[in-house]
Amino acid sequence: MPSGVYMAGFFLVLVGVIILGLRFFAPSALTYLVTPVWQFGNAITNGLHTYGSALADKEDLVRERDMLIAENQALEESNRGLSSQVQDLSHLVGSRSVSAVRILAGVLARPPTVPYDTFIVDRGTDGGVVPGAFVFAPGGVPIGTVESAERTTARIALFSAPGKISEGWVGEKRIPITLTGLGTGAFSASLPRESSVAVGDIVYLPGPGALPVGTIVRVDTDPSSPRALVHVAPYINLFSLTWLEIAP
Amino acid sequence: MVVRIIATVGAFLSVLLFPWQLALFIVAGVSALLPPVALVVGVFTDALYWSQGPLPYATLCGLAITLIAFVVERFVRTRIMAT
Repeated sequence: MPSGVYMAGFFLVLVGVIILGLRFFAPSALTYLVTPVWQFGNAITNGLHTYGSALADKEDLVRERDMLIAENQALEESNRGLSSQVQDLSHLVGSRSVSAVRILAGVLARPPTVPYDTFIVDRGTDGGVVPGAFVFAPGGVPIGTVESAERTTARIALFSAPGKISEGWVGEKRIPITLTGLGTGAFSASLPRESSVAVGDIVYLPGPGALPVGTIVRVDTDPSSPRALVHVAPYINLFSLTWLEIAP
Repeated sequence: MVVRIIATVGAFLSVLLFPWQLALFIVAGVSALLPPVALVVGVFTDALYWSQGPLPYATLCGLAITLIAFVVERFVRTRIMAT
């Protein structure tokens, strides 16, 4: 091997040591250095998406728009009804003060760019983010907690990380369930066979109350086993999230 | 040497811009030119993305690719010298 290649190898190892040093002693510096590259990547992705949409058939776009308007109206109606129900129930059981202030954070890096179930967001301790805070996707779906926060960025560990255990509920009867993360938003759980859960049942995680995170898509039973294995698909697509809400 | 430098920078950028599967492919390719790249890029990836809990797979994967690249490089060099 030529001496130049040895030198390059030595230089690379030195770079690796510097990276490790930055990771443990100045994590803010490392994320600060690469943030412009993440932002550039996100801008390119968004540009390509916009360009692709512009090439789509106009009739399809009009149809899609009409469908979305109708869906939006239906959701508004449903939301109004639910809001009034919440108001009525609050009057009945008394009110309690819940801080509604949440920090809006842009996603810098997400799966599948990130090989783990982790998000990097562009808000850190300067923006009020603290480790342990709950993180929600648009619509209030809980997705994880802040694992670490630097000055300008934070790392979010998802509930669905492979092997991660979360306690929740399933179905209208709110049967307690222990969810095990499978990665990219999916969960599995083991329940007694006679617990009467079925495909389509909603799965909840604790937040302010019980917040829906997904639905049961498969229930595997084995005649020789007293337990059923439940597979849960998430409501949200983690790959397309651009904004998150952090509850400080 | 210029090709190696450009390829190395490309390998570092790939873990920031592309899905990890594609980045792995690129890094493995660059490792054929300069074996330690995979290990250092693996360390870089874990420094950015690794969260407490799972093993640091990127570093372990980088280490494995680097070792394979060294073995292959040595094998190829021996073959060239023998012929």
